[in-house]
Amino acid sequence: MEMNARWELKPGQTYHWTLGVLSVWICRVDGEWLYAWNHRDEDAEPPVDRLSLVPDTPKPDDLPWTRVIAPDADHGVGFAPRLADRAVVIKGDEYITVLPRSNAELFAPLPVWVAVFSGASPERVLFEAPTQPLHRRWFGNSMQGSLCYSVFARLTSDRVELELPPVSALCTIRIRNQSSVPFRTDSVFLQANEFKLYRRRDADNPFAGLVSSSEVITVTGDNELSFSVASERAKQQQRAEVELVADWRKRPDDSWWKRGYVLFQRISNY
Amino acid sequence: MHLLIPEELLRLFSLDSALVLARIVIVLVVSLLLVKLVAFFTVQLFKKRFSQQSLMILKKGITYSGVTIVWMIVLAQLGLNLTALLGAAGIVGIAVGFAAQTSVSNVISGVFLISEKSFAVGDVIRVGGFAGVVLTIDLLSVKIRTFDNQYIRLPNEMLIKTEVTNVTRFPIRRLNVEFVVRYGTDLSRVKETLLNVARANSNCLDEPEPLFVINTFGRFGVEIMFGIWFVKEDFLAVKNSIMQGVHSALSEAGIEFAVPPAVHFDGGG
Repeated sequence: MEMNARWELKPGQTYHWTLGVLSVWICRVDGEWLYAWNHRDEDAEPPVDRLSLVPDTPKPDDLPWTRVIAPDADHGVGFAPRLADRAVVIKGDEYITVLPRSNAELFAPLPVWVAVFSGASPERVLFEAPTQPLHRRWFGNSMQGSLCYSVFARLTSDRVELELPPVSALCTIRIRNQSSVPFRTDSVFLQANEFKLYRRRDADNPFAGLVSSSEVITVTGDNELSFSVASERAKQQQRAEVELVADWRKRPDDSWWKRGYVLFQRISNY
Repeated sequence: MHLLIPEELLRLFSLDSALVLARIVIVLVVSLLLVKLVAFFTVQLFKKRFSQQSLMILKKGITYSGVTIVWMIVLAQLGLNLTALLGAAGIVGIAVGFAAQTSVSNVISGVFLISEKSFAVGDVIRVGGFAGVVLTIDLLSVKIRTFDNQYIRLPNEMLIKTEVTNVTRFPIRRLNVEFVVRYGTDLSRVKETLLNVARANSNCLDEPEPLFVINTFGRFGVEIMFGIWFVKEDFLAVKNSIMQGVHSALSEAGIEFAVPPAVHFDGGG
């Protein structure tokens, strides 16, 4: 299985790809790359789960080109999956409760981005775009917290039951309730920008079978939580099954003092 | 008597005096340059770790202390007794203090402003009739740049005495859109329409959720307040798009704003 999808473009010709509800137009002209992207209306056209080149779809006139100066002779573009560039909050439609002094394992889908790069090197990124429109939300209180992407999805404890939306990565969340009170929540905070992205070796396309690092949420008291990226050891043991696709965007902080993102404030919805 | 003056002048412009003077000039130039360099490199060193405000205080602290030390060295080179001078400076200071009460008050207010941390360099503040971005907090005044690009100097004393609003202190803000709809309007429909406007706007945060409040039953209609949360940097984009969105969505939904009835006065008679 190819790690990334690649195409050679003819100069002056505009190409159009779709993935999820993302539409991408790219054109190679003298010394420049031109690109544009938008999200289609999900209700009108269902999302597609594999990157495909769609011929005869002109770029909408109201969508401007972005120019990238690249005087080299490379006419190839590559597409690779990436995780979000900031944390993601998955909000479910129902509350879940983890009993005191007990653990739970949940599964959730993480939105996937596409990185488009010129030539063979994934470091020469022309642009990145989410494969689905993402809303933003604030995690914390109005005085302190962090800006996250907001995704509505059902949190489930049964991996088989989880219906992954097209182009998304499976994330395992382990909740350790070490407190003496039940932990009740309808949403989880995932540090997606600190996660690594893997792909199952048996996946049939570069954007399928994606799995992210796992997250550990430790509850130490009423509304006192800490978030950390789970050790990668388990993933390394699964090396035969998965391969690393993308490294973290932000190196996870391993120090005990700063480990994860700790919010001591009373969080209204947590 | 007439003969003495040229002698004194000769002594003043002797080779020794010229050497002392040259030494002082060199010490002054080199030391001031050194102070500038130390301030510059210290700021560069801590640029990534410190806030703009802390860097400004650090730079000024180094510069003021450095310049004071340089002048003390220069005065020592001139052969002046620093102890006597400092004693005299105390007396002069009291006299100057009385004469320059406002300036002294500004200096003290400046110290309070910095220690209180009500605002920092880069914050947007509103004071009296002015609003703008804080450029610098100096010993005597705070300089701000207004949004129409004017440079305003606000004396520190005034800022201590006046109510100051720090608009960008917290990372997120709420924009309140207030309007009046006619009596008889379906309020649940108004609410749904407004929430859809917020959902469709990518700059509005999903959480904290938009706020819909029926303020009061006013003279001309039902007064509504619709609040949406956004990241402070997005203020202009949010304000324009939300106002436009609310206006269009309400018009499309057939919801009319209530306006005071026009009174026609025909002049009597």
